[in-house]
Amino acid sequence: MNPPDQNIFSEKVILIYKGEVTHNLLVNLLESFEERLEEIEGERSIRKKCFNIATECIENLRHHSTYPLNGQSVNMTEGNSRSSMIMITVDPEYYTFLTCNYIKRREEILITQKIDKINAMDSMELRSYYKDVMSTGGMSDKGTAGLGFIDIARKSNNKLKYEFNRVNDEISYYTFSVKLNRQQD
Amino acid sequence: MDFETSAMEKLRVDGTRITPYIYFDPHSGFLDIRGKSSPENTLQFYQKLFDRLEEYVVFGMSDLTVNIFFEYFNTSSSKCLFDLFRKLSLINQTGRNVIINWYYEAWDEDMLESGEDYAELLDLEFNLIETDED
Repeated sequence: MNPPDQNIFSEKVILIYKGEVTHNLLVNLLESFEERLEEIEGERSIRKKCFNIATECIENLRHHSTYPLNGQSVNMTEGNSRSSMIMITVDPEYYTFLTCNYIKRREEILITQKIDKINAMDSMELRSYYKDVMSTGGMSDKGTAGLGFIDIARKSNNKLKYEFNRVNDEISYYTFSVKLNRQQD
Repeated sequence: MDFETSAMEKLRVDGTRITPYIYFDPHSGFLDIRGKSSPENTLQFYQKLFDRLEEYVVFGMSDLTVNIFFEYFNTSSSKCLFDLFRKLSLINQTGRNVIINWYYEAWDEDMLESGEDYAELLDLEFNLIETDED
């Protein structure tokens, strides 16, 4: 029998949640996350970047999770179909943020274009893109400013990863992840 | 509602764990915002302040000193802050001097960067002020 992979033991889950994301839940999740960060991370600027990324990830789930109106059509219960998931882990080198949620399939192309555009930019380009969207863009009906992904990319200084898995003709399961280095250059 | 009277009223909003403390005194020309900002509905939260500033554009007499010291704000708040500064620009353009003091903690480079970004985008006097670590 092979010895267990050491990485499994060096990685710790510091926040995990699966279910519907409401504003109150978001506030409570972030508060307990902030407390955990205080214990784990000694560097204040990294703690703050971590908190920023977590907030934007959970805000994305709150505002953009779409679930099938008829849960049965994708062979799941109504409760399951409303679910999103977030998991934040830490190992000696990185914090890893992972979110999963259902989206309408037609949104795949919008998310792909947005993230690919951001991933092609360096830090100076991201900064100027953020300023551009902030100063010229509007606010959506949901109260979002279209700045979340740009902010996550700026704070993490890493590429954003995404994947879509088709559930049916209308719905996809969307997985998003990003890493934050614990040692900054 | 007596619009002229309302324009001269102070505004004070206590801070919470997700919304900042706001104090606006139109008589002395002083606006103070500090704390954290990630309200459930950002536009709705800042609307009261926006309304007061729009009244100030018309009725306000004094120059304005604006002190801003955020610990944290989310991206939709950053957009609202930009809109706030645009209203302050309007006050500035119509004859009353507006000075922004943007405070940030020494370790918080991201907050310094945000202040620099607003300063670059807006035609306002921006003082970026580093504070000691607590």
